[in-house]
Amino acid sequence: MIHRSSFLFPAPVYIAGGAAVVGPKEGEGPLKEYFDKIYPSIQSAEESWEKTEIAMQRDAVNLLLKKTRSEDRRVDLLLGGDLINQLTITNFAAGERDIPFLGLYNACATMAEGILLGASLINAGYIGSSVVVVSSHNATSERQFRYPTELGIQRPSWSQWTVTAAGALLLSSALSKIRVRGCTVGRVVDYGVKDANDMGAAMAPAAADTILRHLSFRGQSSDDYDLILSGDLGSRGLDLLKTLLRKEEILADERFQDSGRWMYFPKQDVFSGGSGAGCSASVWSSYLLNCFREKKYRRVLLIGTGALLSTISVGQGNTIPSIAHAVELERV
Amino acid sequence: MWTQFFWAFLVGGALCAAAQFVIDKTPFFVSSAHVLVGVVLFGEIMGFFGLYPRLIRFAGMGAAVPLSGFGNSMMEGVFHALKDEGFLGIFTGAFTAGAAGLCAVIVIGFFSAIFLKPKG
Amino acid sequence: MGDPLRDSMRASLEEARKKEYAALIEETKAPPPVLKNMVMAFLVGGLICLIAQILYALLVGTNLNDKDAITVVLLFLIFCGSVLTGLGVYDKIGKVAGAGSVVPISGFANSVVAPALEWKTEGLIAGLCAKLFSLAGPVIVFGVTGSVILGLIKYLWLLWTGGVP
Repeated sequence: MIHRSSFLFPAPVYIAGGAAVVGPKEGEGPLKEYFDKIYPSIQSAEESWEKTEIAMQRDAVNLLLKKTRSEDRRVDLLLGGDLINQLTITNFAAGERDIPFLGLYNACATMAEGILLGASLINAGYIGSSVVVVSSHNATSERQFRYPTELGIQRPSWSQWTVTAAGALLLSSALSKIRVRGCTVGRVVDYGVKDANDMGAAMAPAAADTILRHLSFRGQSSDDYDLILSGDLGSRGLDLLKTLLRKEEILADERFQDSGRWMYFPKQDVFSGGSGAGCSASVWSSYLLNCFREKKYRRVLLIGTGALLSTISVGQGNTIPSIAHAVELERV
Repeated sequence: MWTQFFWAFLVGGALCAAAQFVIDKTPFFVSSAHVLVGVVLFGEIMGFFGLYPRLIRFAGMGAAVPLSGFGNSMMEGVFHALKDEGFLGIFTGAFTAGAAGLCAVIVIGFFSAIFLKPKG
Repeated sequence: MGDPLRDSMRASLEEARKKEYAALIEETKAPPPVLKNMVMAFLVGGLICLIAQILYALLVGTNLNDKDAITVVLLFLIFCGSVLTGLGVYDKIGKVAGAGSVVPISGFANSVVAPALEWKTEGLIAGLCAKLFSLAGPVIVFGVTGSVILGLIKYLWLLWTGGVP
């Protein structure tokens, strides 16, 4: 069933497993026991932060293949992305593998974009399995998008902390516990937010748009889900999303949660919460899968949200276009 | 001497607090570069009217340490050179007066960056 | 689709929605704790100046003259700012102190060293040296240009009043 880029997959597509590798700060957060590997430092045994991020992607995929008892040759497609110019990180990490590769960029919505594309290709019968790997690194992104990390400046309370993490998921047509039921491709939504620190506010309208479209496509209400988990809106963005949805008469209650808020304890000084492509990727591929395994949730709607800003667009005073993709998961 | 300490603390602190007020009340995000540009220009304008040298006499390092002191000394340098060299002094004064500070920033900054590592 | 009246209605509805949202994000922004920030900036900035003044008092006791003593103190602060930046301490001070650690000359050193440190992975010349003034450059540009413009004004004033040297 297809309606204007909302898909309901007739053929079964499953999430066979996931692996997450995180940095030290994330390893002190509430989800620490669910991560597969915690790096002791944001730069471990590599000569640059970028190379550390490449190593994290490598580790995430290696751990995933080990956990799912698979190997490069048995995976049909590698979908991956990160935040650094021209997908530097992913291109190098993918170069080490014997898997055909497509690079993706949707900022923090990249994991959702990857699941959506991989699942669509599996559903169509073109491929049998796909690895989706997405990462971000606090220092590589800060120095690219904002200011040097050692600069002594104060950041506003509504800014977000870029997560140092890589998450990888294995999508497969072979039967397992979590099924990718359907998805909705988001539209670029721009409500004119210009403050590059206020990404939650920039992304909330995109998330609301996609949620509304997905629910209307499926003929559902928010009650039909046990959890509607956005990827990196932060506390501020999540509150704004709920306000926007209430205006559309959607019941926006405690079932709406945010990956960026799950990642850290409030006392970890992360302002509004975590952000960055690796945030949703690592939370979804570790803690969320575990929740499914423990039968905590039956039906979950993932909303990957991305702020599509660049240093050039922000420097020239442009607004921040945003996107959100929805992925519907179901316990089998 | 003790009153000099007191005034240095008070004036230096007050300049910083005033800058903080401007930062917090600016509707858009300002980086330290924006703040420092403002502070240097403030020092130059105060120096132009001869007010900043008085502040330095009064508060000592409380006025010399904030970057407005750097702006003032460039302004003073231009005035001195103007007196000594005439018109061309306008173009030499700023760097002559700021030479020690600029040289130190470049050399010390260069070696710090070479020998130390960013912590993230 | 294709109906101009409907299109213009949709556009104006969209416009109203954006305006409403802009108002919403403004009113939900928690304002910065201005007073607390100012107190912290005052204390830290004041403390840096106090330390400088104590050093100055010690130096003036030796055979340095007044002007040289000030220069030595400023050089010392630049050194401290640079090293603390490289040790990863200055950004932590800055997080608490705000302008209190930006405005003193050590903050200028911080804005020189911070980008240079991070870009040294891109090479000595194209990375470290090229980035040395990526943030501090504007300060020097404005400082020098400002002093030249004000110097010109002074010169013209002297011409006008007949006091040209």
